[in-house]
This record gives sequence, structure tokens and C-alpha cells, in this order.
Amino acid sequence: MNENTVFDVKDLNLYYGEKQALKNIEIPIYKNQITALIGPSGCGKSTFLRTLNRMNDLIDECHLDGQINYYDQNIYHQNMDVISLRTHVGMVFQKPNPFPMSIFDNIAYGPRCQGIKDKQVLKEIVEESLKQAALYEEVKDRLKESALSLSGGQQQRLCIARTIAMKPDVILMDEPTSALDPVATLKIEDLVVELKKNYTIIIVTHNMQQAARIADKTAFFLMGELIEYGDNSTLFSTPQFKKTEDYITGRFG
Amino acid sequence: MTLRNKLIESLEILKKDVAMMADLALSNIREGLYAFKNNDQNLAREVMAKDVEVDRYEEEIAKKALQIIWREQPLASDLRLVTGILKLITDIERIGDHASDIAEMTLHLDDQRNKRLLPITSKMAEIVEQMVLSSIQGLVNVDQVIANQVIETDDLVDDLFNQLILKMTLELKEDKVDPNEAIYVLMVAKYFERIGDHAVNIAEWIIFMVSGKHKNTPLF
Amino acid sequence: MLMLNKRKTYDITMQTLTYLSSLVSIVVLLAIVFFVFQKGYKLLSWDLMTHNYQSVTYIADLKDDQSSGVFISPKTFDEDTFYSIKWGIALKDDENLIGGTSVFVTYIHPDSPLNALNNKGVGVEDIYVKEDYQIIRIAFDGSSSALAIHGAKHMIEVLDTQNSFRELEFSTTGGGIRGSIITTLYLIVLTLVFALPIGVGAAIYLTEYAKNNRFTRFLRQMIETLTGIPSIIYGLMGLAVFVHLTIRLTDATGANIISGALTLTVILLPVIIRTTEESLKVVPDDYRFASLALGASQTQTTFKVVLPNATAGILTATLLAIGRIIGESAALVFAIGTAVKDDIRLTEKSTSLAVHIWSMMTDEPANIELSSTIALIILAIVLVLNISIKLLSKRMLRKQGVKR
Repeated sequence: MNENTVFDVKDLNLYYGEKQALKNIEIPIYKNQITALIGPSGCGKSTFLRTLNRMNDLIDECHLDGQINYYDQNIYHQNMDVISLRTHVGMVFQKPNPFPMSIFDNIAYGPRCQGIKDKQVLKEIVEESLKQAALYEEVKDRLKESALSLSGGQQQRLCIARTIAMKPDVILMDEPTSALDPVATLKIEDLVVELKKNYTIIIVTHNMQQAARIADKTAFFLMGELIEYGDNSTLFSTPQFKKTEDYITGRFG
Repeated sequence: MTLRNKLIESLEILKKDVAMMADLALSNIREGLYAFKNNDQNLAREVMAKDVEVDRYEEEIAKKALQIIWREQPLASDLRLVTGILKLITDIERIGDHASDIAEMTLHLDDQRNKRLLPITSKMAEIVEQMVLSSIQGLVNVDQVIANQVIETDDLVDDLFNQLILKMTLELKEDKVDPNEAIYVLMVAKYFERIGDHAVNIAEWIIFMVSGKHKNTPLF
Repeated sequence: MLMLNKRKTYDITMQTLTYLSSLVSIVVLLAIVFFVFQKGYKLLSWDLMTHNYQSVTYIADLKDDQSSGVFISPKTFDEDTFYSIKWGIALKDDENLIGGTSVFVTYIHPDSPLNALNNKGVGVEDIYVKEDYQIIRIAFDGSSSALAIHGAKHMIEVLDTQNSFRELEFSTTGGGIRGSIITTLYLIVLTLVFALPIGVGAAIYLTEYAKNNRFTRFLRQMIETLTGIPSIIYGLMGLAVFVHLTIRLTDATGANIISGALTLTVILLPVIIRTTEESLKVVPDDYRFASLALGASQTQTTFKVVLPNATAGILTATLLAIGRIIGESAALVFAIGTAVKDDIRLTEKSTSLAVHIWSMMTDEPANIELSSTIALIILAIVLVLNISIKLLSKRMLRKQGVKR
């Protein structure tokens, strides 16, 4: 494992109660790349994504075995501070979910929870995050207005800014554009490509063209198994496995 | 449950069209040679006229291929198939042109034909026609093995052509043959050699459709 | 066409029925309010709300250095009021707070000797006659007493002929419900202080922290059941448990306000827990996920995101609670007592407004007018609370940007 490997997943098996949702997943995720996770509904890609920041802990019947290493630390080790993990590995959700607070407070929420109170520092963090999320120009005059007054696409960019405010290492995105219109979707795609310069991004998408457009590497999941994982240039042109080929060419959903 | 029936259908139609285009070119080759051998000037002119249809096929197939690209955003094997076809129809069109050229040679020679001059050319024609047939089959079945066979067969064609040149040179020196006729026979043979090369090109695009590599260079 | 008509008529009939139901409900509600208003508005006054219930009757005589004189009043009086220049006192016949007629003092001249009298009975030595006091009897040496039933005019006439009196019996105004109002306020504050933290805390535990297992489900089921128990049972429990508890821990000797507040707390807890739980559940999980994904702890998530969102619901729960506190009578009868008091102590018996009504109505004869007046006051309090909580929650929601 070199220093370019952000996550190294080894032999991951995940269960919801008796039902096995992920089987023998082994996959490395590389720094400053966009890794796309594709596959039909229910194949486990979102479940897998959630293991990376331990959001699966919130689901009672969920348990797993195997190892997920974030750099050289097993994140499922007893002593792992989950809250600290989540400040390094942020998440953006499918449906934009800004808090019913002002735009400023939304972005300042994370830092405030970590104890940052200085008004000047918070102001800078908010400004910086909004700029990185390509939202600053649109909202700079109304930071005190409610976040719910923004459009869907803007709200999602706000959520991205909110995550960035924590200065994470990795950003997990769970179908971030599936609730948005095509123009908003493209704006976010451009943003994600920009962001990979500073962050490592893992994005779950059910839109194959999106994965083809923006990702460096893509992983294809099917029924809880990782079927194929490779560079976009080969996976979308000459996939190794027939199942991958069939999914990509849409021969089955 | 199979999805994308429209795409699947469009791809099948595309392949059929290419087969029919190649078929037409092939029949033009046969008729062109027949016209040359038997000094059938009318047949020669017919063949030359039919080449227009081959050109039209190229345009129609190009249009359909482009439509598949913007409509269906094909990936993986679908993508390789459509782009491969876009490239190889150029070669089929050139084959058609050469068939027309062969027919045209008929118009340059008069009645006499020296029957001794044609066995090698006829042999070349036979092999080349088989190459074109095989490449069509390779396309329809997307079969890499057949494609490789076609590529190998081209060596034979080149050999035969070299043989013909040697023979012609000899006979011209010994003044056993009419130079005018000799030139046209050589030209016909050259056209067949070119047709062979184009059949090889088609075979190489078929290999691309299967492997993503063209002449061993990965294009992705 | 025939089929269409049938359906249309059916439709119209159903619609009309719903209109009628609404109409009936509104009419009934208005009728109740109208009845109460009509019976009660006459007695409604600021005095009623600020005066003691118990009127104290004093028997006084003149201090040694005081005597009658000439006291010209600066005021003019109407024809029902009779003024004695000799004593500087104006009297009038009027309705007392509980509906009977008495002789009222409407004016006392500042120099009148009646301002400083000697208390012939026990208690404080120096007493005085004030406006709104009622004169019951004036006894004279050598003449017959002037009694209140003879009317104000007679009393003034007799007074004007006398230079001194032996005894002056008068009572301070009573019948006021000040005590009950204060008790009610104490009850509201105390109960909320006990019930809200415990109730909201329990609801937070159940919604945010507890695992969804059989024990939690059982707990919820129990709370659900508790909401349906008649409050008088809680009253018995209050009597048995809280009264004894407070007697033990404080200097209380019987039912008291604290035990009343504790009983009300127990009555209200299930309701508060349920309503708070509902408003917590309504907060979308999306917010919780977003907060946790940002590296906030469960506590931070609960108190910085979930609770503020649920505040509107919690306010409603509080409003319901207050309404219940004001209206609860059966349980309080045991836990707080039925003695209408003026001097309110937390460790002593008292009455809330509702219990006061109960007390009035169980008297002989039942005092419907006063009860209706108190009812009006209660209605007014509830209305004001309602409106202010609605305004408050609107303000809060607007800050959050939720468009309503």
C-alpha cells in the first residue's frame, strides 16, 4: 500500500441481520481521483459507500467483518473515533438536505461543532467553502437568509460547501445529482471535477454517462459483489467481464 | 429481460447493410473480371454504373451509424462495432471503385485476348474474392479468427502478383506477348492486389471490434 | 343523463351534511361561550381579580384623639351616594362581588377620623376604613345601631346626628379571586418546571437514543396507556403519595400547591412525552444524517438541529399542558385542597381557578354568575396564551425559513 492509496478495503462482508449485502469486497481507492460506483438498484454500492464513513453504524441490524483501512488505520477498530473519522471523510447525500438555518449557519455548523467560535475565522471558512463550491457569487449578499430559499441545485452545492468547510480528505457522494435537473447536474459535475484537485472523491451514480464523463476509475457492483474495477478508458470500451459489458450496454438493468 | 431492443435492432440492420454493400462490391468484382476476360463491353459499362450504388451505400450506412451514436450513446462492444463499421465501409467503397476500374480496363483492349495471360490473374481473383467473402462473414459474426485468416491470406496474393510481374517481364523480353495487352493485364492484377489490401484493412477493423486494438495499438 | 343527476344529488347531499355538521359544531360552541358570557360579564371587574376572597370583618372604635368634625369633600357625588360632612365618609348601596347588596364606602376624606381606628378585636391594632369596604353596622351609645340592611341613606342620616360611635363593624372587600389566580399561576410555573424537562428529556431519549427493541416498545405502550387514565385517579395517587411526601420533606401539613404541581406533572408527563415525541419524529432523518456526517456527536445533533426544529411542536405541547393545568379540577381537589385562600403559600392548601369554580358551584346556593365570570377569565387566559404561542412559533419558523 503506497501513500496514494486512501482506502484499502480487504475482504469486506456486510450483513443486514441474516441477509448478506456485500460479499468479499476488495478495492483500493486512490488519492485525488474520482472513483465512480455503478450498478443496478440494490447492488450494494450505496451500502458500500456508507461503510467508508461508518454511517452504517446508525442502522441497527447492520454488522460487518473485514478490514477497511483509511491510510494505515482500520476504521472499524474498537478505538477508532467515529466522529473524528467523519471530519476526514465527508458525505453529500442524494436529496439536498440543508439545515433550516441561514446559509451562513449551515456552513458554519460543522466548524462550530468542533469548537470554533471566533467570528472572523468562521467568516473566512464560510467564504472559502462557498467559493470552492462555486456558490459564493450567487449568495454572497444573502448569507443570513434561510438556506431553504435556494434552488435545488444551489442547495446541493451548499451541502457540498458545508462538507468542504470541515476540510475533509475524502468526499463521499451518494447519487448527488439524481434529484436535480440536467443543467444543475452538469454544474455539479463540473464542480466535482474541479474538486478532485484537492480532495479524493467517491461517487455513487446510477447514471452511466455521468460515470463515464467525470470518473477516473469505476467500480461495477452487482448483487453485493464487486464485479469489475478499472480505469474508465478500459472499463467503458473493453470491459473484462461479460456482466460488466451487459450492464454497460444496457442489455440488462 | 433484454433492454435496448431498438439499439440491438439498429445494430443488426447496420451489419446487414454492410454485408449487402460488400456483396454488391463482390459481384461487381466478378462481373468486371468476366467482362475483361470476354471483352463484354456492355457488361463493363453496367458494372461501372453500378459503382454509384456502392457509394450510396457508404453514405447511408454512415448516416445510420452516426444516428446510433447520438441517440444511443453506445459503449463497450456496441461502441467498437459502430466505430469499426464507420471505418471499414471506406475500404469496401474503395473495393467497389477498384471493381469498376477492372471493368473499365475492358474498354481499352480490342477483341483479341491472349488466353495465356490470365491464369495467375484469375487465381488472384479467386483468392481475393474469397478474402472479401470471409471478411464479410467475419464482420457479421464479429469473428477475430476469420479476420486473422484473411490477413494471412494476403501474403499469397502479394506472392502471386510478384510472380505475374516476373512472368510478364520475361515474356516481354522474349517478345512473346503484345505489350499493350500486357500492361492492361498487369493493371487488372494490380487492382486485385489492392482489393486484397482493402480486405486486410477490413479484417483489421474487425479485430478492433473484438479487442479494442487496431494493428496492435489500443485505441482506448 | 339520469345517472349523472343521481350522482350529483348524492354529492350535494353529502356536502350539505358536512356543512351542517360544521354549522352545528360552531353553533354549539358559540352557544356555550354566549351562555357563559351572558351570565358572567356583569361581575367581571378588575376588583374581582385583585381582591382577596376572604373578607375580614373588623369591629373598631374611635381612637381617643379622634372625633368628628367638618370635612368638606372636594368631590360631588351622584344621587345614589350619600355623604356625611361630619365624618367625611360617602356610602352607597351596591352589589357585592358575590351578587348580594351591601353598603359600600365610596369615598373617605383624607382627614376623616375613620382613617385611623382602633381594633377592638384581636390582631393588628390600627385599622382603617377604606374605599370599597363594606359597612355592616354602626353601634351608638344611646341610639339604635345603623345596620347595612337599612341602606346607605339611613346610615348617613344617623351618622350625621351622632358625634361619636361605640362600635363600627366593617368588612374588607372579599370575594375576589386574586388568591386563585396566583395559585393558578404558581401551579402553571411549578408544573412546567417539573414536567417539561422530564417530559422532553424522556421523549428525546426514546426518539434519538433508544434502540428499537422490545423494551422500548413496551415503554411506549405504557406511556400510551397512561394518557388514557382518568385524572381523578391521579388525584387519588397525588393524595396518597405527594401529599405525604411534601408533608415529610417540607413544613406542609396537608395538601399543598407543591403536591398539586407534582400531581399535575404526573398527569401531564405522558401527554408531553407523546407530543414531543411526535414533533421529534417529524424532523426529517435527513437532518440527522447530515449533521452526523459532518462529524457532530449525537448530543450536538439532538440539541443543535433536531430540538430547534421540534420547538414548534414542543410549544404546542406546552400550550396543551397549560390548558390542562388550568382546567384540571378533579385531581386537584384532592391534591391541593378546596380552601380558597388569600395568603398563598406553596406549602399550604389553596385553590386554582377551576377548583374555585367547583367550590362556588358546590356551595349553597350555587353561584353560577361568579363561576361564569371565572370561566370567562379562564377563557381569556387560554386565548391569550394560544395567540402568543402561535405568534412565537410563527416567528421561529420564519427564522428557519420554512414557508408557511
